[in-house]
Amino acid sequence: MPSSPSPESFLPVSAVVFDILLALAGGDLHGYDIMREVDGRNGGRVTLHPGTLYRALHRLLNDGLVEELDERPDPALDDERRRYYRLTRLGHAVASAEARRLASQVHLARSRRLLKGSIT
Amino acid sequence: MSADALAVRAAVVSYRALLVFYPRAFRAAYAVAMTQAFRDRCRATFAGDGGWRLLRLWVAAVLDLLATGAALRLGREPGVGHGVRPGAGMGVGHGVRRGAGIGAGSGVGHRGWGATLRDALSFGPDVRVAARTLLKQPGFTLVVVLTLALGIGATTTIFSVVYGVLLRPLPYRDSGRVVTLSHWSQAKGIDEPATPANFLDWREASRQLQLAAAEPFGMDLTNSGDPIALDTWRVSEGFFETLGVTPLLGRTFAREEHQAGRDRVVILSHHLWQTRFGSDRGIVGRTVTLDDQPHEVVGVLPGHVAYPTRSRDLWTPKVFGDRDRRMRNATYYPVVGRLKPGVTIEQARAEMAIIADHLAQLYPRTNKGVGVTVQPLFSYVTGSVRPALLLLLGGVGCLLLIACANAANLMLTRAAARRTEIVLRTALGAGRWHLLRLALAESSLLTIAACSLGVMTSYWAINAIVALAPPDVPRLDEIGISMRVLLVALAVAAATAFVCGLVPATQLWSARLERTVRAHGGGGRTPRVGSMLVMAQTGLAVMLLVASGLLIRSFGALLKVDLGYRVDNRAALTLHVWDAYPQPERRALFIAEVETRIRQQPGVVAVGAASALPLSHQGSEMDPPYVVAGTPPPAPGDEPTALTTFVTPGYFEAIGMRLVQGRLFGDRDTATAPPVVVVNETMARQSWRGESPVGRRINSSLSFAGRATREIVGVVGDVRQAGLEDRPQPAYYIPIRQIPFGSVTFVVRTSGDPASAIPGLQRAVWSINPAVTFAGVETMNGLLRETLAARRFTLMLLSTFSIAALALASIGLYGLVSFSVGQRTNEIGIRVALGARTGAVLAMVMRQGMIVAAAGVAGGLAASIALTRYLTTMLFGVSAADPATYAGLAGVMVIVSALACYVPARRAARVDPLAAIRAE
Repeated sequence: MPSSPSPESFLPVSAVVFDILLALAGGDLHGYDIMREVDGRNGGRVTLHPGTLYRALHRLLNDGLVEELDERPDPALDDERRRYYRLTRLGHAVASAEARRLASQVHLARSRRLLKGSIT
Repeated sequence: MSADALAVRAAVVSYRALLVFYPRAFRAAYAVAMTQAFRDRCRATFAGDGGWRLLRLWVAAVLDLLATGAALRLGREPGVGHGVRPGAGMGVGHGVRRGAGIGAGSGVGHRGWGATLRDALSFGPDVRVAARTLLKQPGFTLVVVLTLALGIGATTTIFSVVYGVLLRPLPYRDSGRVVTLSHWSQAKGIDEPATPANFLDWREASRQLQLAAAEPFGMDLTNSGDPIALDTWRVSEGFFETLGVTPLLGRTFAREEHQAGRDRVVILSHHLWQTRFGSDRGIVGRTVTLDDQPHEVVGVLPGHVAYPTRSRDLWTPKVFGDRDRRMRNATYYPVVGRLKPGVTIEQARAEMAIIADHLAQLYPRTNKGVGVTVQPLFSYVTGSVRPALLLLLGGVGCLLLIACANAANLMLTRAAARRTEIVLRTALGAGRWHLLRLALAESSLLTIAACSLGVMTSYWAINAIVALAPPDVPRLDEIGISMRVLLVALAVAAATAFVCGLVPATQLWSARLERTVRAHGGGGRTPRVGSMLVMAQTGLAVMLLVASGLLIRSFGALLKVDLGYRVDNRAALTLHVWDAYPQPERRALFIAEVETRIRQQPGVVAVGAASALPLSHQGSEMDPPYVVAGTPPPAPGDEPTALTTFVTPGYFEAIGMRLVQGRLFGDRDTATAPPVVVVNETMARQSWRGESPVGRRINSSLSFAGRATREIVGVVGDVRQAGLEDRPQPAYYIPIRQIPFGSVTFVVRTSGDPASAIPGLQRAVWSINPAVTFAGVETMNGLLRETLAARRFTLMLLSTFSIAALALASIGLYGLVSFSVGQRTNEIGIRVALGARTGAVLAMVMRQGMIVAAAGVAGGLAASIALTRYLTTMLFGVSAADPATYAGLAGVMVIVSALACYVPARRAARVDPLAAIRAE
């Protein structure tokens, strides 16, 4: 069995991918959920379209960072069955690793006075 | 369904339809989910922000779809990290992971679709790879580049000529509204220039056209360098405005200058201004001496004025007199017209038809059966060369196709040879688009090189053509490489690149890998696409050969035509002596004296003179009507006409015409002797049918010589006045001593080269009168060659194309058979090992090649039969379906093809069976 790759080997992760990982870190989501969350997060300034989303999901699935769940309907929308996605353990690890990386960058930015005050 | 539901549904349905842009596997996996997500978003957007927002969302989503779809198709996977991970081949989707994924951590927002597209379309690395590959195979590259350069260069050259002559508008203001008017003679079935009186009547009567005419004339320029005779046009009022010419310097003629006494003004042609007056910009206002009278130079014309002809030197205003108003039967006035605003050419034609009818009623003698042809100036200028130029364009197009087919075949062969590399690339994830990009990059590089080489060569070739072309090709000076021509060359090159790149690429697309290997590695058949290309080449080459063959035979038939006179060793010198010898008797004496002096020159065998020599442009041709004496005069307008020439007694012998009956003129036919005339065979047939006309009489009336009844003393053979293609017309000859015409051309038969004798002959004339100027000095042979020059030129070019086509087609066939033999070395080796004889192998290989060639020849012959009927206007003495030509050239193609097959076939027959079996 091939050894599982280390999370660090995936770094740095693209912005789209990190957005998706971040969204899925909060729980299982289907495609539109992810798009909605990413939209909300950036204040509507950046829109994640189905093409970009599913292309990235495709890659994440291939790399084993995300897995598909059985289809089930979303009670909030309608009766149609939707495909849900979930982070794998590797996916979690990669997301954490990237978050740490970004945090250290923020720390550096603060020390260079690019960031005033604390970010909570 | 409510409006909002409808809007959302429309958006979703169209989005789903566009999902076809994604690769099939991706679509199968995600299409449903994507559609769902999009629909959810649409609903939310519409509910929140309305229709406009929905539309903008749809547009953005579609752009995103296109970008990501393109990226997926081109094998660009979004990299989650950079660099190739170890174990990348295991369970990863297809495609070589490129390091540059969707932004390696650039993190400033999402990597936009623009950047993805740029990646997808970047040709940089492919071009570099292509260049490297091509340079590693210099032989192949050179052959393809040269082949394509030949096709592109030839096409650019001929297109420049066609563009300059046939496509560009004429260089006159609003040239689409300029027309020419000419007499249309029903009896003779030809167009002729107008007569002065008719022109004046047309001008007065027409409301739709602004008309002007030019009268050919000659003036002698003295007091500015050597005295020379200048060809002059005397033009009517408003000539330049009608034609649409603005002078380069100075002005055109004013109205009052078209009156007697005020017409001592002159406009110089551009050529004369350059050569004689050194392009002096201060020439306007100066005085020059013409015909011993001072004339003021009021203007200089620009260089592009080529109507009525290109070669005139001077322009002066015409003052119309009574003589002109009466002159209704001498046709020598080119008339140009401009459609008045809002008038169409059909309206002008209708008006002129009414005017012509009216004149026919008023003057039946001269105008009966005479119509008016109104023709756009453009077709007047270019009409005569149009068929030949279009033929050449078609021919060079064929050549280009043949060259492209050769290049495509070469690339196919090479692609087959590189199949291992292709297989490897495909295994590493190069999709179809990628392979196509590589192939296009290669063919683009090749075509760019070929285009540059071709355009450079065509620049030189165009100069050569302009220099060698016959001078009567219209608009010769407007031919050159212009921006339009270059654009056409580039378009041709681009199309070539696309086709030559596409052909090998498609071969590798459709075949799956094993089939690719099998199709090129084994099998007993020659590759299909390659065979079709060679068939097409052979067919096109046959078409070109047949066209050339027919034209060559026409040319040969022409050369055999009996002119009725001789052109070898004969010089023609033209003089206009009206002004030098105003009295007729002194003119006659001068002419006789010139003949005597010339006869005394060394090397002169015979000399004679006539008012108009055949082939010469300098003579005055007249064909007035005549009446057979003793018969009831026909109705006015129905009188027969005949070409009238005034000759010295020595003329017939000097020019080699033969006497059929009776006698020629002699010393007894003086001015006071009874008026006599010699007629030709056609006229004898026309008026006296089977009987001999000798002893009969005709009444001829010449506007400058009154009426006379002349006795026919002899019949001479017919001549073709205008050249080999002319039909003999009725003609009669009058002794010049009885009517001393002032424009006379001396024909001198020399024992040696006539051109070298000319200076001596001129000196002989000047020894009598040093002030006389020669209006024309040429050899008869040269004049005849001029009439054939255009034909010969077309033939030369077309034959060049045919030979090139033959060579390229046979090279193509050779390549095909060679390739096939190379692929079948294994099989041939086995056959030989099993006992097949050399002859059998040879026959087998040759048979396959000859099948392709034969199919091509058959197709070419069929196409030729269909298309050569468009050539009939250019053929002479041979039909467009002449079996001998077709059979002969088909035979040539078959023989050449057989040779092309033979060489590789022999190689195949000599294959060493052991080596062959081992090699595969």
